[in-house]
Amino acid sequence: MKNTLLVVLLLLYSSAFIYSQVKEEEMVVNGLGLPENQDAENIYNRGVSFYKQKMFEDAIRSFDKAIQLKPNFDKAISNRGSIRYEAQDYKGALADFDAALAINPNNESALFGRANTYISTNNAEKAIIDLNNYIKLNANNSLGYYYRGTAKFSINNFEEALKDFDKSIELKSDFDYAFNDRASTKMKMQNIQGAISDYSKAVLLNPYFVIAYNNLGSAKMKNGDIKGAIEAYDNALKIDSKYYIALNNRGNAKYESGDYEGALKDFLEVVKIKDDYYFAYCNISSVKFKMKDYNGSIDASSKAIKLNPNYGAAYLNRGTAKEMVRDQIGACDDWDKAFKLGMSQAKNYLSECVQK
Amino acid sequence: MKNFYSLLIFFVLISSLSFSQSKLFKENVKLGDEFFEQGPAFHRKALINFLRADSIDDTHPEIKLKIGICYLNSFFKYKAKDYFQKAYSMKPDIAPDIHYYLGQCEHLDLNWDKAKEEYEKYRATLSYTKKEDKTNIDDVEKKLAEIEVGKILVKKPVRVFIDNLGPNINGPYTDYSPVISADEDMMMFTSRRNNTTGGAVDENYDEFYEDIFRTYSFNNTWSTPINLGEPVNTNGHDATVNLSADGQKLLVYIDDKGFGNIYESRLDGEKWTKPENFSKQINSKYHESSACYSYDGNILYFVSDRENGFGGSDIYYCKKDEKGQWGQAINISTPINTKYDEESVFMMPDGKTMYFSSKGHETMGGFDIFKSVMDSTGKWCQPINIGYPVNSSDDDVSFVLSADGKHGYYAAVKKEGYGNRDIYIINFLGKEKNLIMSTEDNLMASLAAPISQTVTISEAVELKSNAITLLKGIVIDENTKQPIEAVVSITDNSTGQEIANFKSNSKTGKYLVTLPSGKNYGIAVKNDNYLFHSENFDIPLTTNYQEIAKDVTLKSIAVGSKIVLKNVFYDFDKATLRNESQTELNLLVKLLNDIPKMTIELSSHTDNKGSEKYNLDLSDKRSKAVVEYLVSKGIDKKRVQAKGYGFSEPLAPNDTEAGRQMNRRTEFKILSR
Repeated sequence: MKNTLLVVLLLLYSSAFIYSQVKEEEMVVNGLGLPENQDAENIYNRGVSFYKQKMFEDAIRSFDKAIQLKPNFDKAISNRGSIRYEAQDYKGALADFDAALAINPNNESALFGRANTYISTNNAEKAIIDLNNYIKLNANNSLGYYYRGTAKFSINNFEEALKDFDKSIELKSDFDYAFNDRASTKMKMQNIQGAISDYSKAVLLNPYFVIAYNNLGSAKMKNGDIKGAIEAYDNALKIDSKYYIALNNRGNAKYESGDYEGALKDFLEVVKIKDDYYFAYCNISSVKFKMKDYNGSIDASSKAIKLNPNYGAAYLNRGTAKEMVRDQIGACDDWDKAFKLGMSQAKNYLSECVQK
Repeated sequence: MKNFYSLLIFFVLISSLSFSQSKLFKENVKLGDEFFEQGPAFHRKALINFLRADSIDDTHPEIKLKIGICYLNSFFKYKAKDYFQKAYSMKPDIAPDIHYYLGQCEHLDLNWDKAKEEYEKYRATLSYTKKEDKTNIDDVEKKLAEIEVGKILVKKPVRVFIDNLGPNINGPYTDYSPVISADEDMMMFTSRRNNTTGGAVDENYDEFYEDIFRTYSFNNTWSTPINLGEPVNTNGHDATVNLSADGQKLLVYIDDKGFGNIYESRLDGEKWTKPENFSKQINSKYHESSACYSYDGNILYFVSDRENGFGGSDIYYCKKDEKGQWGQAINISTPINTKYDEESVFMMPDGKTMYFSSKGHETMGGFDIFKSVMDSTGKWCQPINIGYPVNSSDDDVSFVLSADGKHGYYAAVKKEGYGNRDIYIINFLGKEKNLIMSTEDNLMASLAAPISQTVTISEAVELKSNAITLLKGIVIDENTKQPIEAVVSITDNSTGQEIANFKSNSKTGKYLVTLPSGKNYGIAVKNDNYLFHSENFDIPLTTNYQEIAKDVTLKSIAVGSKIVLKNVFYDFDKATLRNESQTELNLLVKLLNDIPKMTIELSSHTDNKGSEKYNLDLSDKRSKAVVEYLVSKGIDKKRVQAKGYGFSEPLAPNDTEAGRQMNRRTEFKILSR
């Protein structure tokens, strides 16, 4: 691809040279036998080269130019869409993929790109339609099944998602992501042992797969194996000590085992890494409550609420802590807010709030 | 002498004082013993004397033992342990039941293991075969069972706040037996404060006689209690027992010269009527201490230690008949009553939930409060201990509950209290509230860590040719070196097709041409005034871009001039002309046609591979093949002489392939013009 870019540049250089020659003396003779105009293709190829070098701005300029020269150049439009997708400009990406597919409905890149754009914008149904078409064109690409699996997972169609992940793994037996996601699907289907097996396979295939280690921990938690869960979270954190999700989960495991000191240490570390992670503040409120530091619990819940005023769990926890410091009115206000934010258990607590 | 008298006086005084102290000690011990022997009811008075004696001389373990026992029978049980421990340390065999007392003290402090140890030591002093030990064995076995219950209850306490009702209600005296209206707006309780009716002191207890007091709740604050006054309160003991759900009837305990009976007072307007004795079905010659109406007032539950019960005091009930008369007292039986004492019965307004105190069932020590619910068939379910810390290892009695079940009231002795016994409110917090733990996972890995460049792109398109060569050069006169305008022809040797035809610049002689790479080309340069120039060249396929400079020197058309025909090709080792030679040879045909008088020698040359004869023969045949081609194109045979030179006239040494290639050639020389 570099060579292509070089040719294009040289062509451009030659063109400039020819131009100067014409002015001074005479015109270069074209003995190439090329079509009269492949400028769009040349620039497109240059864009592809830029893309592969991750020089996305240059690539997008090239594709823009190619499209300008050749408005029905579906590959250039699609590629520009892909870059926009990478830049999380999903609206722009979608417009490009739509345009490319309007020109060429079988443009595989555009189908695949649009499907992923739909997945990223929580439009799984449309993603599945595109991936169905993509798979018709490219039946042996494990990625097509993989992403269709994730789309089906996102709409809770776990049985169908499982089939796609199976197929993806069948086509690519060392596909660590597919093992992880199939495990997650099994988790949703309450097949905890199956999930543990798949997560374990994922980390076997990729010993640096922190996400899978974390998920393995959570599967073990669900299986009642707190010690095993903590080990798995430890493994995730050995690879990435800043992986706050695993750290938060390990704190939760310690909390469940009654190791409140250890849990608090983990949660405090989480907020050092990500100081807007309101989950951790909510957990700090729980663990401080258990340590009978009710005011500390209230402070932590308040912090979570400040970060996310619509986080019902934080109100619920704060209300419960307020009850313990005899602030019954404050507790009832918080439980009421929690209930309005969807925390159904708050309804039971509110029944205690009937004042004389 | 003076010192002698001083010393004498000192000893006399000391002796006198010592005698006096000794006398005082003995008097207090004697008086204390007299009260002590009368039983626990008099231990409070005994305690005063023993404490005085102990303050005079604290070397008597027996006194310390008795002080401990007196404390155990007082409100301040928690003060007993220190005295028992000192007595034991001073004299380990102070009493056969010292370990029992120590066990009780540890039991009260919830030191389960120590209590168990002491009780077991005590049990070891008893004989299972001795009849006189049976009661004590039963007692200590029950204590040991209570320890096991206590361990469980303390491990899982009920969620309550227990708060002293404060100095507005409680004082330095004894306050207990709270009863509340269903809406908790009004509370009555019993107090032995100094403004009781008659103002007399009960000699037995060294406290004022009991009176009933009333207080109201305003904005969750209790008003200053007011003595209910006459006719409810009298000079004797008048104590609260319970209040009807509608708050119109008050059950009052009246000592009745030691018999202890339940009376009823009614609210008439704003005044409570003089308490009236219940019928003999309820009040007997035995002791009735507690009672409670059913929610509709048609059943009275009460406690009596009458005969033929299950043991100790039991809970009974009487139903009111159609005429409003109380029927026969019926023992509520199992599973409520036990062989131990039951006390303080309280019915919830739902008519089916009973709270009561019992020393039986699964208590953690003394009386504990239990709850039982009547099922749909009218049977009471197995009572449940309402748990620690509402219940303690001491006696927990006189418990009442608000109609909504959220607030309980009872009296207890606590170290932080205001007096002997205080009234407390228990806020029931209900079941433990679940705290929310917030966790998440990255279930779909690609959402958390996108696969590198999730989307794909279309690859580069294939151009028809994407590798080019720029051929450039200058055409000049061989002799003058001046630029020449000449026609340049480029031929694709693979097809024989001319792909470019142009002129070099007239002033500079320069030319430029772009050519696809990967091919073999022939170039021919001609000017009518010069001999044409030709040659061929390869542009490798792997080359993406290259420039090839190819300057061309044209020779004048003069006799003796030689031109190598570089684009004339033969089959290998043969004299057969290949098609790609035609372009070049046609130029020669044209030259001969343009200069009709010109004659030439057409010669062929080889390299030195092979024998001379062979090469001479091959070159000869090849030169003739060319001549035949020219003739076929209409050139007079006489104008062209064929000549094979073999390798006799090399242009370059034959020791390299490049040299040999140069030597393999076809050329013509102008013989005349």
